[in-house]
Amino acid sequence: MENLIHDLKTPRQGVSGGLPASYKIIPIAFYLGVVFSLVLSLFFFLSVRAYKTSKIQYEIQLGQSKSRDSKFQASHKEILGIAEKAEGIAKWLEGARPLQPVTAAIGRSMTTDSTIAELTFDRNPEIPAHTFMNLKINGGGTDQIESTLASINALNYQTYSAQQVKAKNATDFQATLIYSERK
Amino acid sequence: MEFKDIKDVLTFAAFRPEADNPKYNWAQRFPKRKSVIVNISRGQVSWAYLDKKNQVVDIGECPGEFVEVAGDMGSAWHANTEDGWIGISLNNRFIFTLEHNLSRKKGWEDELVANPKSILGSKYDRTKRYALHHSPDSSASLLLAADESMIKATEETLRSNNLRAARVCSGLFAMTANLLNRLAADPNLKQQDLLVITWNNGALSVLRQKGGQWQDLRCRSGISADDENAIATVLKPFIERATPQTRVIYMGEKHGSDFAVQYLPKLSNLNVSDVTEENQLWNILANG
Repeated sequence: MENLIHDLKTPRQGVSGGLPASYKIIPIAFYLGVVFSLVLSLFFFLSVRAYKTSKIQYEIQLGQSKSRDSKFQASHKEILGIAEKAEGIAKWLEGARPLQPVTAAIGRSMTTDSTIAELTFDRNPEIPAHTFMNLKINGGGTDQIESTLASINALNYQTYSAQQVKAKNATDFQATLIYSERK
Repeated sequence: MEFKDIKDVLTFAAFRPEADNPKYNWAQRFPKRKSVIVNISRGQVSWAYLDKKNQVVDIGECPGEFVEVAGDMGSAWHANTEDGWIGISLNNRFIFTLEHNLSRKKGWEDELVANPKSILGSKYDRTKRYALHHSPDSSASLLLAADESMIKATEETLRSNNLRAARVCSGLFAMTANLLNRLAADPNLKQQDLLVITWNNGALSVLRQKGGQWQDLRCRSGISADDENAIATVLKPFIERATPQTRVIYMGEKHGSDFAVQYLPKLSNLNVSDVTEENQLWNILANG
């Protein structure tokens, strides 16, 4: 038997018996939403932290890569410098090739009817491998020139831009000599 | 919609009945909340502090009229409540009577508040407020009539001390109704010849129940336990008609009350059962 105690106080209008229990879904949904938001915020926070960590690692790797790249660039530059120097040395070696055998071969190619009036060799400072030859022969003629060129060719020199001017009993021959190794 | 409304929904307070809703018991009105119950007797005020589990944690009493005691204790009572709501047990200026054939139609509780004349008929007095406890086995009803001016004065005193009445009741009436419910639920006791005596700090009620029927009732409030004449006036008619088979069931507001000490030994020729428990009044008010 219920023992609900009587009440004699002055009644108040609009006394609430409380909202229906089914409406409790509203605060429950609110608290679930708060919990979900907190979980989501935690997830995003951890994601941002992981992103920042990976970004720092990436920046470190990027710095290391740039450092290696700059080292490579410096090495490449150094190698290019060395190659340039080597090329200079190679040119110098080309330019330093002795011309005495050519002079001797030209001299020996002279027949009894021919004499060398003038023989000069000029090296181009820009292209030391090219040697400009100016040969003036008294007597001889075309046969003598061919014989002389054959002697020069026998020493592995090729003639380019050859010019030949014949005068009375004299031949003026000019050509650029380039040494080429025969295989 | 105010911020408080939103807060009440989010704290689930909006799903609980308001503290002054008389259709819910004390525990439903103050779930997990502290509360205070005050018993106002003639020339004395006693009180109990209830914790959040609705258990009595401390009690106190002070001689004097309620207006004076409330002025001294108001702040302490307020400090032991959540929002200043307290329960009042009026123990003075009321009377119980035994009535028959009162209307028990559905909603009689609300009708008794809104239009008591429709329930009480010619017995209605506009200067009183009423409560009823119906016998489950007969057409008899226990009618409480309390002085309305006393209730209003008590509410006004509470307001002036920043307190609000969650409930105003008669502690003696609540004790008597509780005891009668217990007797009605016990088939052995129900059939016996019983003198049901309830005492609450200067208020006395004696009801004779025989074979489950309420036969006679006398009540008096605002008396002292030392006033033997007044108490004898109430008890004498019942004692005179008692037989050797008559059994006395006594319930006081607490163990070792003045009445129990002074008068129960005088009833030793009858079979006396003291069913009083520790903090009896406070426990009934806190659980009803």
